[in-house]
Amino acid sequence: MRPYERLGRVPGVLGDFAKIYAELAPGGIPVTLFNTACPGPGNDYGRLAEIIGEFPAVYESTWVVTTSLREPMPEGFRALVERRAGAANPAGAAARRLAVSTGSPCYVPIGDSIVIRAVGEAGAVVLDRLKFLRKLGQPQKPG
Amino acid sequence: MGFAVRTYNVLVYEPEAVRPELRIAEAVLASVEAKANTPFANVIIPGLAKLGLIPQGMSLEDFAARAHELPEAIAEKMAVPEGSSASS
Repeated sequence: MRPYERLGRVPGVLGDFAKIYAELAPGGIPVTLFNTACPGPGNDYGRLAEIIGEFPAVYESTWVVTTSLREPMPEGFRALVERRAGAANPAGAAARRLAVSTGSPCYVPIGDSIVIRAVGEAGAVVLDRLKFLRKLGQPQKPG
Repeated sequence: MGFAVRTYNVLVYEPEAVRPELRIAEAVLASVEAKANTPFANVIIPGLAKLGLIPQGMSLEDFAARAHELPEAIAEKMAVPEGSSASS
């Protein structure tokens, strides 16, 4: 948590995202977690989809995406996630899944229990990916 | 045999527009860190201390801060911290 402690929070704007990225990228980033459960205005995901090439270590990482049916992702970002998840990946179903959707905090009526479940699901997916990548022995540094 | 705890970086993005009740990123990071580190902190470190390979009461943070030379038979059997997380 150290980079986040130094920042005082998890990144909430793209400027903060870039700061944390600069700290983490030299060591490689195996997993990036995106919580997309946010309404359109102020949602930077559309912009992020446009500039993701500026963050090669993120692009190389596995994305874990928490989604929301009530607040659909901006089109550009959604397309990016789907392509990485494999459905629209030209390499086909055998392609390595680079994005995993999980743990929506608001698929169902919002309440503490569903949020807690979302945390558990997302945490488990992140940990599984870390274990999987460790087995592969990937340093996950951008090429 | 050389042994060092490896840290993984997990990058998180949670826009400010996410409603407070749906903010889960910090909790997810904490959850990953706890799940990853608990077995190591609760089983392996006390076990190494019991064998006299590290000082009694050594914390995970202190253990992770430097590399260790451990007998090969032990180091090979040790599960590295379960993909320790979030640059902890």
